[in-house]
Amino acid sequence: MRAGSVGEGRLGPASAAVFLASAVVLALQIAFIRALSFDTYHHFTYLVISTALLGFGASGTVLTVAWRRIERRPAFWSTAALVLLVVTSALAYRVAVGLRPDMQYVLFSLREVLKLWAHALVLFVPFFAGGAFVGMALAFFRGRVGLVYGANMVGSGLGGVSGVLLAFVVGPYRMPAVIALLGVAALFSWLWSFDMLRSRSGRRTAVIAVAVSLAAVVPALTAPVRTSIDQYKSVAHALRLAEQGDAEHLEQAIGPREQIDIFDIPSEHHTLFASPTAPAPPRQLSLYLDGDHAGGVFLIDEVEEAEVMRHTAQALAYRLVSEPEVLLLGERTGVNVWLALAHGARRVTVVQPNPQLPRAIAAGIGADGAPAFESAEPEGSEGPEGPEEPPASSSQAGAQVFAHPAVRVVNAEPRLFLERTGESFDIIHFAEAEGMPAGAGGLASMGEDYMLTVEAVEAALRRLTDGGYLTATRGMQSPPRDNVRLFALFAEALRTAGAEPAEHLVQARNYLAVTTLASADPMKPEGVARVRELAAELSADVDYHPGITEDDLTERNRVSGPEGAKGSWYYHAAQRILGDEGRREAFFRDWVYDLRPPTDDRPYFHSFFRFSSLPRYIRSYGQYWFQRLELGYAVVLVTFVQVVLAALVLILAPIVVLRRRRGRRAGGKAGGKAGGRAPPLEEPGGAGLRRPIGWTVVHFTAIGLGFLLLEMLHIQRFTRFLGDPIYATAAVLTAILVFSGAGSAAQGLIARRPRLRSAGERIRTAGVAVAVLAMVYYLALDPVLQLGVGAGEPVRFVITLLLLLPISFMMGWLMPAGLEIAAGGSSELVPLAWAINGVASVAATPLSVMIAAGGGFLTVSAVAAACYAVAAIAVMREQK
Amino acid sequence: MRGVTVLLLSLSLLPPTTLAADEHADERADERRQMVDRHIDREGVSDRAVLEAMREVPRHEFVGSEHRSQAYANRPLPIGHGQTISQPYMVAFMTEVLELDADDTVFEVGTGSGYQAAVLAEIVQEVHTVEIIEALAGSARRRLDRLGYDNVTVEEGDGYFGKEAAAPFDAIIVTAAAGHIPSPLVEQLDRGGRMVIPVGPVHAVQNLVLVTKDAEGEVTTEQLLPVRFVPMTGRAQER
Repeated sequence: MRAGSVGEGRLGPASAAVFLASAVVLALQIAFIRALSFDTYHHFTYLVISTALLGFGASGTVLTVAWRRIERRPAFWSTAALVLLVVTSALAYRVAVGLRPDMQYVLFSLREVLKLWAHALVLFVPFFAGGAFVGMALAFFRGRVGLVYGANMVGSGLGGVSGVLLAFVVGPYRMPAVIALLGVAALFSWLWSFDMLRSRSGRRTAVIAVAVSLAAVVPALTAPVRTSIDQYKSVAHALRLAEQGDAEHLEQAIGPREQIDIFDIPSEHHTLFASPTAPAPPRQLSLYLDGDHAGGVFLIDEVEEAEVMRHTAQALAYRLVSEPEVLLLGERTGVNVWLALAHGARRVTVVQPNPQLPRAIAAGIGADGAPAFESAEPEGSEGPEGPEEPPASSSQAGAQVFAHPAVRVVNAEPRLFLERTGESFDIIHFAEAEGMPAGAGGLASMGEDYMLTVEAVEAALRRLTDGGYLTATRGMQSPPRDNVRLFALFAEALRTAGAEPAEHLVQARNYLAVTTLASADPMKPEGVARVRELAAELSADVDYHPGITEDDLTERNRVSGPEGAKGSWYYHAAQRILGDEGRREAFFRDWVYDLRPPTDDRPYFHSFFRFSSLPRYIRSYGQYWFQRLELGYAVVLVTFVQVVLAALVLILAPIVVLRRRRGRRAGGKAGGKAGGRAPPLEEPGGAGLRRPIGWTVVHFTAIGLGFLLLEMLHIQRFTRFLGDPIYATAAVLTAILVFSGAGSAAQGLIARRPRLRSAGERIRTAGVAVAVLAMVYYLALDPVLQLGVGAGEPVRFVITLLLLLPISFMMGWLMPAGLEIAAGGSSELVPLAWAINGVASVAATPLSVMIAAGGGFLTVSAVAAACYAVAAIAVMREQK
Repeated sequence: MRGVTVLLLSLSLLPPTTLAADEHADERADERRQMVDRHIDREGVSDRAVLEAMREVPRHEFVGSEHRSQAYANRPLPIGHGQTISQPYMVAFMTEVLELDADDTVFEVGTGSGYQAAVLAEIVQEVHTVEIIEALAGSARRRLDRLGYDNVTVEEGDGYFGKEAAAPFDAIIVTAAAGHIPSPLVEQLDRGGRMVIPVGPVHAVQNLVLVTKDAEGEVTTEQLLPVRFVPMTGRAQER
């Protein structure tokens, strides 16, 4: 059976198989990410998944090298790849669990490094198999590659969405087995496309393939799932205590956003930022999100029992305003609700993006009824009925603070709520920003945070009543970074709003955390005096208030500062940030970390790393410099370097093989020996073989990078509009993959137009169009999205799809048109193109994060546009 | 000659494992000295009592057999149950910060393997230590007994509330990353006492905080240095 003939007359079922296999791969990716996020750590997840995704690139490389052999038995090899996909989808995670390294010692032990690689390698196999299968299908059907590639794109898009849904329904550990069933369906479809059941040998192959697949899938579906949580994770400790009878696992909720676990651990005494002399916190439950400790849920009925909250660093704002109307943005456990109630809050609005969380807390407490939720409501609307007067006592409240009559819970992303609400508040508390400093750990440091940008803080300032305060508290880091950036952020937002920041800002710290306040009105001397008095009560030191001098500084909590100067780094940083523009710029330029205020164009509050500081890190920390680095950035960097190194091998290896083969053929022809054996590598028009290898590398690298850069960019940008990163990922993936799939599938129709008949013309047209559209989107997207921000969720989803349609459709042209040219040169170039595209796509993921953190979305847009422009130019050069 | 005979007889009555351990301990005294010289003395810890204690305590007895070969490297090692034995430098640094006297009573939260308690026991009169993991508390107790540290009391329990019965303490050392300073520990710290505790998030850089209670009972804090401790009941990992 010749390659190229396998799909004749059976393009439909073959495309269906590609569609299903692509869906399996994408859904599996989501399953692995979710399971690894719970079992291990975010940055580890990122590294492992990126490595595993190299399977796509590797598959193309292997196909290129082994293409002769595959061409001889296409049915066997493609079916084998599909069976491997099914089997490893069902089993890879279970096998990988046994190979997981001890994460604490990966930096010290070669054995653990080897385990890390073995672990990633096991997870790599299904992606390799999936990539190999799709790559083969593209090569087999290269005459109608648009439709097959379209099926690949649409399958991937819908696989992403179904992965998100499955995470809700069956949870991440059972997902792989369920997903593998889709793979079995793909197998049937593929066998059908080959007419396997007509011949005896075909029937035998089919029976073996199905039997092997089901032998893996059925036990995986029925066997109990064994989780393997890293022993150093917070939740592992809770489970250990539960095993020895010192804790009880009360509640678990699984979802695509995070896994929620609630434990009753009598030895848990969590209270963020309480002063050393505060009373002990009350009895509490422990909340874990994705296995990390997220705080305590107080088990109390009376406000008086929350006395400890009155001694925390975050109490400062609450002690400045009597009976405040409070907005808590991103509050999770409810402790800050108690903080507000303990200070006589008239009403508390909690904005919480995860609807599962308050429900899980209610269930964990064993409360009778879950709290009533609101969705993000239209501008100016009121919440549910609540008492206008503050409760004299919360005795009627019960333990479930979210159901307290003075409390309403709004299910919305905090930033979206701020942009849509017309209400005003006396205290707006950035509770989501609270917590120990996040900059040092995990990939969170490279995640977008649209709540901590100049635009978001400015929006919050607009929602303050006269005499109101914005407040945010974060743990301290050494050297200081989070809180200095927070101060700079509040200052910049005040400046943008037309206020003089020096008159509005306060920064105070206890031994553990720093609280930054921005007042709605310029602070008066009596307000400043009150801040100083309260700081003493809270065992805190004030580093900034309007009019502060060195004589005002106290030393209740000693922290480092410039040598020979009085005052902490916080004090000196505040003086520079509030200085004239030159002094401020010099400060931002010279500080060891990047502390410029984040904006919506570069919303990376938690990213502090700067390359120029690397020599200073190494000088200051000696052999520990790597651990002192911002880990999130380091992981992204390591991932990128690893992918680039792998890319060099995966791309160069097949090129070397191809060149050798060609050399041999050329030699054979010249010598008149082998000319009859190897089929000539035909090219339309008979222009010879000169072009495709170099051009293939350039074209598929450019569109691989460009495609993923645009995909990542739009997920990041639509997150704010859709109010949820999960929805944004689902909507953007669906739009880009499905519409670009449509663009690919429509190649046959498009090629009927005389001007677009040649693949080169289509590449040039689409390349230029995407490059231009990428920049148009950068400039026009935010104003357009702002018009739709008030619409309901379904409408915003549709707006997202429609907005992404034009660019996605055009993006879909370049791969099949490129394959058309590559296939014209040689059937071997199709797998090479597939390898290059896969590797470039994987490399683009860390690259897009690095570019966005360094230069903002403008730079990402420009680089993506440049990639498509390169594709257009490269094909024009070839056509000459 | 008679004395030598008695000594030989006594040695012959010892169980073979103990004899082997002692011989091993002696063999490794040089490694301990090198560890102290290279990684502790040279890195700035200067309290002679602390340096002497670090030279005395056989760290290899506090780790599993699979990690004994690395016992005198300046790094933390796993001891099971998600816990680690601290990096030697960190043990020495935290001990020095407490400014201990020979007649002091010290309270430790987070016994782990018992190594830190043994170092403290070399310096002070009395050490009380609490471990929340039952299995670790038991093994540490047996180990410290075997090594002859009879001035250490190991208890299983929740260190957050301290040990009221033995309070006040001249010094308190917490070898677990805590979210905040437990107020019961502050209360049980004697006037003029010092407490050292790593405070901050897990799996990230924390701050090692020194808490001082002056003669009037006023409490002040000081950030000493960034550290990274394993979570919850974890122990010092690195500087």
